[in-house]
Amino acid sequence: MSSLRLVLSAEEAPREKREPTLADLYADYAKYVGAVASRLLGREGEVEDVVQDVFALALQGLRRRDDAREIKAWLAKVTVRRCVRQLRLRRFWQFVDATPQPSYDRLVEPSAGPAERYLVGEVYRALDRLPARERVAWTLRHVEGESLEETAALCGCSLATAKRRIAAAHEKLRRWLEGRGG
Amino acid sequence: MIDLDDRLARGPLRVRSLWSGASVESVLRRVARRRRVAFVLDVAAACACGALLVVALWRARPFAASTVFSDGSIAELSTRDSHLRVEQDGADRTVSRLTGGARFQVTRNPRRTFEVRAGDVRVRVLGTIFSVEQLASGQTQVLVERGRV
Repeated sequence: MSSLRLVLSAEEAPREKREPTLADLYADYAKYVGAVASRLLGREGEVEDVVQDVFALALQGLRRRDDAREIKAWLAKVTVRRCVRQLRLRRFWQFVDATPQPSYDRLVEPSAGPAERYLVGEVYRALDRLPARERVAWTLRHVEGESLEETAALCGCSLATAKRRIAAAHEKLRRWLEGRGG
Repeated sequence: MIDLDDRLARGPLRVRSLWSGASVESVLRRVARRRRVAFVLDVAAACACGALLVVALWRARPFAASTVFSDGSIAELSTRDSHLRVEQDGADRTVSRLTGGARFQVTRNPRRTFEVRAGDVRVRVLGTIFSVEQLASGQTQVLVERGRV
């Protein structure tokens, strides 16, 4: 039997003594998954899709991950993979997508100053021009604040590859921001 | 002037979550939808496989199109692409034009000529069993089972 069950209502047994249900996982980790997806994607509509997808996949993918850290790491990896897919889809459709350039105003923390607000908007506009893997590696490192090792693990690549992707993305971002007169 | 390196040296960019905080029911709805889609795809795949199987069996079935002439002689086409056109079928002469291949079983009658034309080749017989096959090389092959041609 799967360790996850589609049980929404609270069970009679104490929570720590029974297998986690989807509802438990969702309650514990949806906020985290949503935050990671937000930083990687930057667009609200896509974040919701990714969060739902990740937990839908968790129903099948999470079997024997009892340790909370392991569950979190698994969810993070799946979120990153799902975001890469979403970003590729976005780049694929951008040629036929007639919607105007999205605003990234809501992405900035409300307490951030105008300079930070401007920088985040410009960075995310620049990130939209990068290949998905470079973008994700850079975002994990410089927005999510992950270590290089953790970035490599989340991207499913070697440390050297992660460094190369981050450096490539960083160079492109710097040139873009300089070109914008920033 | 934005110095990206300078800013990043002070820590990660300050980006907040855009997640709406939707309930777990939305995930369950998505799971149910995925299952429905998977079921429909499974059914569609099964139907496609079934259709392919039917087509394969249909194409592999023995081909037995035959023509019976007025004197009782019989021509059996060997392939679906073969074509036999009877140009004359009189009391003393039968002429047919063949494209592809066929097996002929001709009723013996010394007063009647049975002729098959395949490309430039003419096969004339009295009473016999033989096959005519146009080869891919352009040659025409005549195989006699009984009698003479």
